[in-house]
This record gives sequence, structure tokens and C-alpha cells, in this order.
Amino acid sequence: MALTSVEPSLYDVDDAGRPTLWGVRDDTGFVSFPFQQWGSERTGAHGDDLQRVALSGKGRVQSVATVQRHRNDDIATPFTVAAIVLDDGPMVHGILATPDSASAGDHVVATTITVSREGDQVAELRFCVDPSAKDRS
Amino acid sequence: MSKHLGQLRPVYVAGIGLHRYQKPSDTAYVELGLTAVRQALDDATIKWPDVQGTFTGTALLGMAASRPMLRHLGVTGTPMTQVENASASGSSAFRLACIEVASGISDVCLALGVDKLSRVAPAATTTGMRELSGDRVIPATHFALLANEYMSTYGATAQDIAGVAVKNFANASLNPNAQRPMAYTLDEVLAGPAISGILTRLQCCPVGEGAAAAIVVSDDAIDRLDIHPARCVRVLSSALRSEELYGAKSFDAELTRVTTENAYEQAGIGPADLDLVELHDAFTIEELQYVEAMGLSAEGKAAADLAEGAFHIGGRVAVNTSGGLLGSGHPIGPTGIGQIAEITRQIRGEAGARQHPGARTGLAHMVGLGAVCAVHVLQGIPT
Repeated sequence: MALTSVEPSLYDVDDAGRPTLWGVRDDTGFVSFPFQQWGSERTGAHGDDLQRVALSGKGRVQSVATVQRHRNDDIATPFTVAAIVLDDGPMVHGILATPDSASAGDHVVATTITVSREGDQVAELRFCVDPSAKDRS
Repeated sequence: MSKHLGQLRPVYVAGIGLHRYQKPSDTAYVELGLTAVRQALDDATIKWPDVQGTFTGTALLGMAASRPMLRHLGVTGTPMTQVENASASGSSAFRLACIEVASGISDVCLALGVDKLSRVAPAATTTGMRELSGDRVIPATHFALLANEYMSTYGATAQDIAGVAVKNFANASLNPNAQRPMAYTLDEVLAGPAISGILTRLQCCPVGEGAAAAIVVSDDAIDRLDIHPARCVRVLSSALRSEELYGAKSFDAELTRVTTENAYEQAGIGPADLDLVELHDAFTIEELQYVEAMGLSAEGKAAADLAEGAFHIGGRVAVNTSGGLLGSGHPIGPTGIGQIAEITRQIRGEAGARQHPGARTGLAHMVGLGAVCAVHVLQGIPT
């Protein structure tokens, strides 16, 4: 069954649940995330002067932190947040697919998990250690 | 050609006042604010009608907070402006008060910070632009990530970072206006509960309420109103910057670096000239990052300098003698002005048990959501 993204403005998913993160490139080649047309933080270029670009979803972990307590009781803990510098340039905060499964310096890749939202099965972004990474280091 | 504060006429802090920072209570914000203002007026030995402009720093009270409070001092028609800049609201109110006096528009201004806890969503959450991890990344997690990066880069330990809390709670235990006036051992700080990463509860600042006030004056006001010049502290510089693009570097640290360099340049000083610093230690790792960004420690060496006592009362440069945000509290609006009050008290030699010997030059630092950073340098006047 085809999955839809929990956050369609941030990423799409294909039928197999593989995500594509959408960023924006300005006229200097500066890439940021997420896609928007209000303006580049680097140059102020906006509208049609900005290009929507698919990001690789791959990057390197800069740091991790496992959340033990969250102020929103609806968010289950523990979960691990990673600061990830994507190969395309932007730094994002991603959730690891499994808590404590990556450390600073690890290569990771975007993936999704299936969650239930208002009775529908949807795909939510996660990151996991990139099995092809040893070929990239 | 534009100018900075140091190029305008001199401006001084002549009076300070505080309502103790405390857990959320039924105390009306009016009472919090009036307590601080009346104390500051008495401290400056002036009367309310002498005040020619007011700037109230508040992030959480809601629209038009000044007049319902300040009218009870006697209505004088004095200009009133509320200032919101997230955690830097009080610092920004202080900056505007200084600029108004330094520019010659007023001789006497009040900078007041007052807040009570309430749920106010940051405007950024209403832009329509979604965040990748939604509301999962709270401030404690943002700084837990920085702590993890600091540890893996420089080999610091969780104990090293928790040492900030031990020092600041020891200072807070000497501060009658602190929200958490109690010393803790390292084991107690580390004992939890764990919040995010290595950060335990005592390594995160509390939420609360309170008020802080500063009376800012010119030389003309000192003469005209018979204010005691020996108790006035000069504001040498005021710097306010917003976040730029720093690649993958910590934006809090880089923003601090740029803003502090700006403040040093305006004041004509360097880091070696500082005797004390009140900085934004909402989470322990921040103090280590910021003292490095300010040039008070070499990169990666802040933990070692802390362990050697460099930042203790009596050390090379005393950091957070008030107890900081961790120990004294962070009620938001008041915090930046509370830092000004502590530095003023120290420079006057009136800090009692937490007096840092020889305190003459101090730096106040706050960062706010956005991000923004405000830095002020204060110095005692030679007698």
C-alpha cells in the first residue's frame, strides 16, 4: 500500500517508504533545508530565483543526545536526537531509528518508519547508520 | 556616520532593585515590578517624577504591561515602552535605556524586567515552515547535543561539565535573591533525574518569576539630583547582534564571540581586563562554551580552567557570582537586568559573602531565541 509522508512540505516518500528531503538552492549555490521561497538567508534571493533541490538524505553525525524526559507527555521517551551535517551542506536535527544507535562521526542515511496518525498509516522520517558508509569514509 | 554607546555622552547605573526570583506563584506581576522599581529608586536616591523614560523587558506578560504597574508610582505621563527579545528582553530594555540617556534625549531612565510564567508560543512556530523534528527538540536537547560535541571534540567528561552547576549553586547559596539558594555536591548534580543527553535536572535552569530594575543616568542627572557619584557604575558599551550563518558551528557560541568582540571594541578593553562576568548559563555546557568564545579560556580549555578555580569568586575572573541562571533563576524578562544589578553590586563592593575581590570591570551576557545576543560592559568610576 502506498505510504504518505507525515511532513509532505519537508520530505516525500516512495512506495517503498524511501524518503526524499527537499531543500532549496540559491543563486550562489548555497543549499539550505527545508524548501521555501521566502528568501535565501545568504543572499535574500527569493521566489523564482530559488531552486527546489532533492537532498541525498546522507550525512555525518556531529553529536547525539538521548531524551529521557520531554515536556509533552504525548511524546514517548527515550528517543535519540542527532545533529547531522548532510552531505549537501545543511545541518538538521534528526531522530535515530533506534535510540543510541549512532555516535558522533558515524555516517547515517535517511529512512522512514510507519506510524499511525488519525487512523492512517504514514511514513515518518528517521536516520540510521549508513551500511554503505565504509565505502565513503 | 553611525556611533556606538562609548562615543556618546557617559551613562551610568545609579540604582538597582530586585524582587527575588521564585517559583511560579500567585504574586501579581504588578507587585513583582513595583518592588524592584521602588528599591532601585531608593538605591539611586531619586524620586519617580525624576524618571523621564521607561523600558520594560517582558516576554510573557502580554500586551501593554507597563502602565497597569507603573501608574501606582504616581502618574507622570513618562514615556513607557515594552521590549520583547525572548530571553534577552531585559538586556535589550537596558540597552535602550542606556541609548536614550547617552544620546541626550533623557537624563534619567528606568530599565525594568518583569515576567510571570505563562505559555507563549514563539512566533517561529506560526510561520508555516515546519521543523524536521517537530517539537521533539526542546532547549535541553539542543544544549545536550552541544555538550556531546564538546565532549567528543575536547575529551571533557560529564563531570567536568557538571562542575559549572556545582560552582554556580555554591554562589547562589550566598544570594538572598536567588530562586535556588542551595549548594549541591557534584554527585548530587549528576544524580539526576536525567533530562537529555548528559544534562540532569540541576544542569538546567528553573522556570519562575521575578523582577529586576536599573536606574540609568547622565552626568547632568548626577549633579542635578545630588546622586552619590561613588555609587554610580559606568556603562562602557552595549552590543546587540543577531544570528548569522556559521556552517556547522554552534551558533550560540559564534554569536557570543562576535557580539563580545563588538562590546570589547566599543569599551576599549580586552578579555584580560574583565574581573567578573554574568553570562547565560541556562544549561551547564553554555558557561564553558561562552567563556571560550569570550576569550577567557583557550578553545577546549574551559573545563580545566574551571576545575583550577579560574572562574570562582576569588579566581582570575569570577563567572556568575549571582548563581547564574542555574542557581539564581531565569524568569526571562528580569534576567538580563538582574545581571546588571549583580555586576553593579560587585563593583560597588556591596556583594557581601559573594564579593569578588577587586571587582572593577564586569561583562553581562544574554542570548535569546532567534538567536540574538546582548553584551554590556560596566566599570567602576575611579575615585
